[in-house]
Amino acid sequence: MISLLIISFGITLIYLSIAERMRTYNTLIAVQGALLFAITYAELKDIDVWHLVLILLETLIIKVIVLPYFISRLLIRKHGGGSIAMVVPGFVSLTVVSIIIFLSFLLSYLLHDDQIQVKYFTGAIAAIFTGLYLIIVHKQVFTHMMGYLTIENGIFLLSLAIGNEMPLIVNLAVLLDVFSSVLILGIFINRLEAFSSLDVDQLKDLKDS
Amino acid sequence: MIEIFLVITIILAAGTAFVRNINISHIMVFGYFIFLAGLGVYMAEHVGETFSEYFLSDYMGLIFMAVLIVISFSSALHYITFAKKREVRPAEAALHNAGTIFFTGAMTGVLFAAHFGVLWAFVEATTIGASILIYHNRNHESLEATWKYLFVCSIGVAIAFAGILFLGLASQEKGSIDFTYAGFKAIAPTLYPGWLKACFLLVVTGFSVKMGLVPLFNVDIDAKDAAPSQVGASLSSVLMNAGFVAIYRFYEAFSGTSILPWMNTFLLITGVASLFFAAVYALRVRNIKRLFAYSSMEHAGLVIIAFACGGIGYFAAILHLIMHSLTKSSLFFQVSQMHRIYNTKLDEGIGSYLKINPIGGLVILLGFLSIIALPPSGLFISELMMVQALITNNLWWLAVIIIGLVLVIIYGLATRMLGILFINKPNGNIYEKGATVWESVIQLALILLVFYIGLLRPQVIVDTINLAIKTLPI
Repeated sequence: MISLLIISFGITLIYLSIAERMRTYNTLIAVQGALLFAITYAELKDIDVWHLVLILLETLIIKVIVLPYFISRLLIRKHGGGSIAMVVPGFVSLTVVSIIIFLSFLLSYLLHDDQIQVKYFTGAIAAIFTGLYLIIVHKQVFTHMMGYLTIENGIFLLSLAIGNEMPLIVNLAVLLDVFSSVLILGIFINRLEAFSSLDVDQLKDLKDS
Repeated sequence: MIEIFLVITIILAAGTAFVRNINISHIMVFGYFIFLAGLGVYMAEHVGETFSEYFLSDYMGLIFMAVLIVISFSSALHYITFAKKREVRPAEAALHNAGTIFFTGAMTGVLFAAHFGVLWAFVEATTIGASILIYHNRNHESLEATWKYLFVCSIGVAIAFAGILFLGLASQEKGSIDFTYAGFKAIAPTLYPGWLKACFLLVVTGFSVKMGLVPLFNVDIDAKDAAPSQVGASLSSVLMNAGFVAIYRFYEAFSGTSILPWMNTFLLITGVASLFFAAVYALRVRNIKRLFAYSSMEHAGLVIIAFACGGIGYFAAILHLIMHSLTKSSLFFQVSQMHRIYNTKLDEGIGSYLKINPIGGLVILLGFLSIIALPPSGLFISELMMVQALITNNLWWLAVIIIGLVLVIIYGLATRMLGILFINKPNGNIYEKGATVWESVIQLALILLVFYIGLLRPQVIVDTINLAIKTLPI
């Protein structure tokens, strides 16, 4: 069951690499949140029930409801669903992310560590590097934010690998979500409208000479 | 006590954000600092004790707590003038003061945390506080700096979190996950070194944004430039110290393991790379605030290099951080006055400063002499110890390279500072005549303290630093 969910998580990464519309990105991030919610339940169901309920609620509310809602409300509606300028052709991104997933699997498998659960590690490392790839190849603030949220989902997945013994770690990972949703979305995105097309090229006033 | 302090921090910060009377808002900040000082005294009286497994009082935390109190208090005093002269609206001042309280509370948490998870959470909290402060001017520049700072810090703390997760994976192997410093230090030598190395690499990379080191230094420079000067002072001093303490906690916990030489090499590379970038940028930058920011990066690099050398280098690193905090914050405070007079941050628009604002010019002159580590500055002592530590480690060739890079930065600073003080002619109007004397007096007092420590090396400071580093390998 968990393997199936993590494979689905990997598929969302592939879709993210070729997405061309803000709405698609947002939906994929929400789907990742829902998958993480299911994985959390499957992996942590043996921990203290109140703790589990708290983590599940936090995951569901923040990753599946709050973040996608705010993104939709603050950005997508104001930019008419918004298409994303593809700096790198879709098939190149598709190839790169596929290679990232393959290498992540290879790395997890080759490490041969008893403590590494290959499936978690593969999903997490692939998500972290896919997020970094999105940030590097895109020039819009929106896609940078999506890249960051993908990294964060990867880290959340990694935290689940040891969450059974240390629910505090999962709580801290959730704290990372709260942090990003409150600050990045709640306060600054509506201010960033000042940069009309949300292009990072407009964020170049601060320089050395 | 510290738990109560943190709860009060959140309540007071939230309350201050809604106060629309500027004077009351300032009073709330100073009330908080009295409380902060009280906490400092309490922690000093209970040194060596842990509080509910998540917090502890040790000499390392206490040293930087003392610096935090002095700098934060000075910064809040300077903000009163800043708010008055700039005619800051009550709502903006309220948010700034709330941010100050939250930021200071978060840094206190970093200093006294006893648990890696809690430490990480407080480092993350400093980002929230700092972002509020950087955004103060609400213009295009501050928005850009805040966005970049927030975004890169978020990635930085996420990377550091991945490092902490590796700690979990490493200790899971032994069947116990104890993230307290003491608990982890006890089992660290039995853990797989590969995980520890991965953790340290990620933590230093992630927290480099707080200390202003390579690789995530860029946003830190932008933040110090776009934020009000007193905020730049805090970012360059107390936040840098907090970043150092965060890295130190991991270093100390791993110092009893076989990865110690590897950690030292890694820190050495990070420090030299930081110094190199600081030297390159210091030569071309024309903006005084950015110049000071790169100078902070230089000193962060020096601190990490000294620390990586071990032995006397540990002492030098801590002393250097204290001295640098006092000097650099004074210089940043003075930039605020300079900006009011010339309405520019670029060196070509600023001139004859010693003549136009003699006491402010004196601050810049003495601050410059202190920051380049000219005797009797306390920074001279610490830098001398650093060179000694490098030579003791048979790294004389590296000492030569480092001295060369420092000389390049001194050249960059000297051409700008001496130009501002004596050579340049003011390139435009003088916007404010008759500077606020008490501001400069505070700055002078901080710099003279650095000279006093450099000349007399008070035993209490020497003893406290020695107690702070006694758990490290010789």
